[in-house]
Amino acid sequence: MEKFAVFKIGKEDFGVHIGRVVEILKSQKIYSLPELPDFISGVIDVRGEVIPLLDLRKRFGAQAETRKCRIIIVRYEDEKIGLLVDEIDKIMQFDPEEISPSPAMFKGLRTEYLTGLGKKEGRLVILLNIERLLTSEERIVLKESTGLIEEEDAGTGKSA
Amino acid sequence: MMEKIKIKNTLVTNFTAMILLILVVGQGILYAWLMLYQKSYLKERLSAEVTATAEHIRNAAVTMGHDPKQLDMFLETLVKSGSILAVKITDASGNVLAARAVQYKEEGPGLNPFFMFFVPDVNSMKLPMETAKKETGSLEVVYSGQSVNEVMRRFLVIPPFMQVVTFLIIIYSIIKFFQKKVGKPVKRINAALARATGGDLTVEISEFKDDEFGSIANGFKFLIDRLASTLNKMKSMSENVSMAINQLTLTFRNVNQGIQKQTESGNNVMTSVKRANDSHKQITEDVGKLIDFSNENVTSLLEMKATADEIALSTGRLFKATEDAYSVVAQMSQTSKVIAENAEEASKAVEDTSSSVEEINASVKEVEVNAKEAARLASDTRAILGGQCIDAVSDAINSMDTLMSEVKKSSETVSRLSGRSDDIEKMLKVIKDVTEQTNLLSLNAAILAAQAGEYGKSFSVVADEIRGLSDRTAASTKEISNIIKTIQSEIADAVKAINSSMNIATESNTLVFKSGEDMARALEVAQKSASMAEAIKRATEEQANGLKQIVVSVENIRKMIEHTAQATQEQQKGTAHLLEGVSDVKDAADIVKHGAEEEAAGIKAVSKNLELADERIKQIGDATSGYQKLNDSIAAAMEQMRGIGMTAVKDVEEVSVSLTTLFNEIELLKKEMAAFKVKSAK
Repeated sequence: MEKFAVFKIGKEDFGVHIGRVVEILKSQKIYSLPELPDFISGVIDVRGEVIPLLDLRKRFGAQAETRKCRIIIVRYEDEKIGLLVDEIDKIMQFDPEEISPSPAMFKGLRTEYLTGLGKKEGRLVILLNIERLLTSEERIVLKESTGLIEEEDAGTGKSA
Repeated sequence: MMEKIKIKNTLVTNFTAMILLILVVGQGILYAWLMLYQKSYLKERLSAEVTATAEHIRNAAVTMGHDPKQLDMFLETLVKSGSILAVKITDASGNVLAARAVQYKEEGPGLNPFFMFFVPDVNSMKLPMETAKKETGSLEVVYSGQSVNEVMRRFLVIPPFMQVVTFLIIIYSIIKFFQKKVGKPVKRINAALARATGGDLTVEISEFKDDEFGSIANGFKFLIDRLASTLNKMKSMSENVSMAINQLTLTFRNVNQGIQKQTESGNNVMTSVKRANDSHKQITEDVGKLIDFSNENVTSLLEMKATADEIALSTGRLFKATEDAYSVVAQMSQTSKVIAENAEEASKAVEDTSSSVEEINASVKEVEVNAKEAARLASDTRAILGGQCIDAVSDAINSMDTLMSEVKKSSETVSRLSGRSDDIEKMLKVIKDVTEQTNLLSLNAAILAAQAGEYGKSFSVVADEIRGLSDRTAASTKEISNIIKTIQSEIADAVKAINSSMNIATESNTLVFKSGEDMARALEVAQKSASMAEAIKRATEEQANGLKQIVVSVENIRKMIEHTAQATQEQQKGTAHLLEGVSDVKDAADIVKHGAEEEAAGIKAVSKNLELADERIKQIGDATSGYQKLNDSIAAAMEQMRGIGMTAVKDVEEVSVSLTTLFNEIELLKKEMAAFKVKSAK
């Protein structure tokens, strides 16, 4: 029995394993820094902690709705990363037999992003593999840039 | 709500029960086996003992067989001494040689639950008696199993009792240990959760070691604090809303009162208008009567005119007769007979004249009475118009002004009301934000609970409660928003109704003013007609005076004629004297003619005046009927206005009902939130 936090991007339901989730936040002020790579849409300040933000709507080709947005903070390797989504729905439980392996291609998404498809209550939830959300190249760039942010943060801290 | 964990479900109880079961079953089996072994051992020993004793008896029987007394004594001591109950010695042919027995009870068929651990109470043994390899009889021994059973009974009672005591000591120490290490912290966390789920968010958890329970306690504390702050915010918000609703209700009550006052003013105006109408009806009646009277006047006048004509004719004839008399007197010397005849004729004519004049006098008196009545009626009309009617109209104007100001006031109140409901909409937006925050909080709580695994189960109950609360709040907020929208549209309706009633009030106001003007005009006409009637009265009086003169003149004539008659009779007295008398007659006739002419002129003037008065009276009648029409239209307008007022009242009452629903909704929400006891806001 696995629990997933289910959220919406456009009309699709996505799930992320609950063990991964740190916290759910409402929309916050997003700081954009010039050194950030393209796939990071900015950073947010969560109780003094600077967390890079990955806009999943952009990544999955959905049109970014500015009307309503939520942020899920997840653990990514040793870091925390924020995912920008439309709406958090609820926590759902899936029995192993309710999770089917992902097909080669699903709704234009490369299946390396997915761990499977959860089917329950007539809904189809795309279960995301957080580890594979970024390419290895992007992973390196992200590490560098987060290092940069921390340095900068430390620098401003000293000056203040 | 979380229930208190039952003792039979606790971990400690389960664990202890399991150990107890294992100990009891294992020990029971072991002990039963031991007992069985012991029984068989004791039984064997007893039967061996009895066999040895029987052997001894047999030997004794053989040696003492010749001395039965000694044998009997031996058997007696044997039976009395031990477990041997009876001994019987028989010879080969079955005759009893010797027998001894104590009283014993044959065992009944009763069922002993521990029968397997006991031997029967009565056992028997039979041994053959041999003398030189030859069977000479048999020996039968009955012995008791009492001694074995006594030992077994002791073993069945004392060791199990000791065992039970030992178990109890072990269980007590296990329970103590668990209570100290696990039970206490779990109990405390459970108690805190029970209070939290029961709605008391002031609960504190502290003094935990840095173990698993400590981390659970910290997580719980964090969640409770967040929930408490959110609830505090929501509470103050709902209090604001309920305050605003109270104010709204108050404002609506004011509007209602204003509208009721407006309706009252409308009713006042209506009664005033009705009063004016009644006065008008009386005026119309009076004017009708006046018209009747003036018609009567006209007919009287016509009669009078005819009489006057007759008078004129008579006067003419008189004049001619006088002239004739004069010429006849001139020829008097001819014959006195003719003169006498003529004088008689003259006297007759004068009598005719006198009666005619009396007739005229009567007619003129009638005219006078009628003219007086007309004058009185005209002045009455004037008084009515000047007094009652003008008062009624000014009353109506005053009521109209009050009405207008009331309508304006209620219009202002409704506008204020509209502003208030905008405020409520702002507050609703804030509540919506708080609800979203609560929803988020419940999601985070659910995630924390899920990550805590088994320990987080109670936690997830709290999270679900919060989520339910936020969902309910969202639904309530939506409902309130709908109600506010309805209220706003109803307020717009009320504003429309009030505006249209204001328009009608303005219209009525102008109508009332116009009716006031008409009333003033009617008053003017009535005054004119009153002065006319006065003039008629005066003319009639003059006429009466003229007639009196005529009567005097006619009397004079009669006297003269009598005189003439006397003169005729005294013909002889001389013609000159006669002639003088006749010329006197002629003068008198002149006077009569003059009087008749004057009378005719007077009658003509009266007639003209009466016609004029008639015309004026008809004008008054027309004006009055026009005024009545106006009054009727005012009454209709007032009725319409009252209908609109009623609609406004109904609208306001509907709004009032919606407000009450809204208020109840908020109260419900408040009550639900009151179920959560929260620390005062930080």
